[in-house]
Amino acid sequence: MRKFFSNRKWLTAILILIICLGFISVSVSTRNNKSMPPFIQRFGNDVVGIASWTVAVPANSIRHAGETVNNLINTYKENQKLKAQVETITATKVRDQAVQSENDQLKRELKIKSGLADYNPIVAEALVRTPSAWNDQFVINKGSSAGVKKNMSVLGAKGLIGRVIEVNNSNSKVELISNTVDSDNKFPVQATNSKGETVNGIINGFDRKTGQLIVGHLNTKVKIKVNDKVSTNGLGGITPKGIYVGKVAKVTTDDYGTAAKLYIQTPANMNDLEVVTVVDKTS
Amino acid sequence: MREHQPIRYVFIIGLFISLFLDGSISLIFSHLLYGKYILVPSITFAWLFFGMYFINRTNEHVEIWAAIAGLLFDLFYTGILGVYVIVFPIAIIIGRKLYRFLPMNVVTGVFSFAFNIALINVLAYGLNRLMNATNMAAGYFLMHAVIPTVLFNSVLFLILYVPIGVLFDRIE
Repeated sequence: MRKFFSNRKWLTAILILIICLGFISVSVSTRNNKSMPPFIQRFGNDVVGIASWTVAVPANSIRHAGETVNNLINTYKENQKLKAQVETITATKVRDQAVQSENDQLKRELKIKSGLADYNPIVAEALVRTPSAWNDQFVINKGSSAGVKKNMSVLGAKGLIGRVIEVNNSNSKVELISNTVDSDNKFPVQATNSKGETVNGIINGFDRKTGQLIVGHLNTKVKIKVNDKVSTNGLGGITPKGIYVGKVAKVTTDDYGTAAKLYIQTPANMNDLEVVTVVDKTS
Repeated sequence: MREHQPIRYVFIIGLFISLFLDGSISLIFSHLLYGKYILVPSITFAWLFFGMYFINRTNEHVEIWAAIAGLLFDLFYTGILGVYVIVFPIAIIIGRKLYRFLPMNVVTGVFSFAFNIALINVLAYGLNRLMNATNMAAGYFLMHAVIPTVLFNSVLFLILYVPIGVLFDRIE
């Protein structure tokens, strides 16, 4: 025991602790301010990312096989349901095409190159999830070589799920929208009520108990009701317009009773990710 | 002269596999593990702990491997360097001290493992909170993450105790 408390050991321990704290603060500030981590970190991440395929690829394929079996069992039920939807889908599709082409034409006449809603999708696969209680983070298998840049929005099967927070050459890290640290990029969204009036705001919180997103500080006279739809509004320059976020689950006033506060229920459990789409906003 | 020790290679390869297994299991079972109660698998640390616990005859420096595993963990999973690189070795050093004081059997093993898992989670959370990399409330973290995680990993430990003990004994 005496040896443990000798001066030299304490000095080394304290030195190591200080170095580690320094590294932590440097990497946190890199994460907040720089578009990419330093070369050596990116290189290490690429190597580890490739090494992780040895486990992640077989694991993902087993998962995929399991889901295929599951799908097979559900096929009949789903087929019945889908049949009813098919007819309306064709009609909607045709109308969609007509609207799209009209939209293009109008844009050309107005000489607008790209609107708020245009984007290039980059399809990526989820490789691993960060085993951590407080970091809701994923690693995806596309990086800067595929055109992924920091702060791009990431879509799951049913809507917005997160943002890119770190880009390496061949993989990148995605943080879910449920992570709402002050320094993170915030999503600008709009809620639209049944009359078609909209309210703009930003997602600035997450209620862990109910799993709902919070949009606070809304100063408006427009009445938003439960079940009104919420989507991104394309302001702020990074997120394109019209990405579905969720439905309004609760409307309250904030702590001071002056501004409205919306709770948004996301359409699907954000935990079930296989393939995601990174959104590259064309500008 | 260092003689040829197969246990060394098994330990190192197993360490890398368990490191990636943590991430893969977290991804595949994320709807079960990251629900209302957060159960974080810590197979990497379990492997390090088993290495410290069972490998006696070889002079394997588990602390150094703990630091290396921690560095890769920081690099690849969290992106914040300097957290697990120090937390993993601290836990192994404390685990070794407990191991010297306590008699060696399953009960003391699982207790010191559970203590170490709690220590890792609390220390890593503390460092993240200190640097403002998370805004999860401490009370919520304790009730919904630490306690379930410790219980979950203790069960994993009990399941893996006999097979890994036999594996290390056979190879040595």
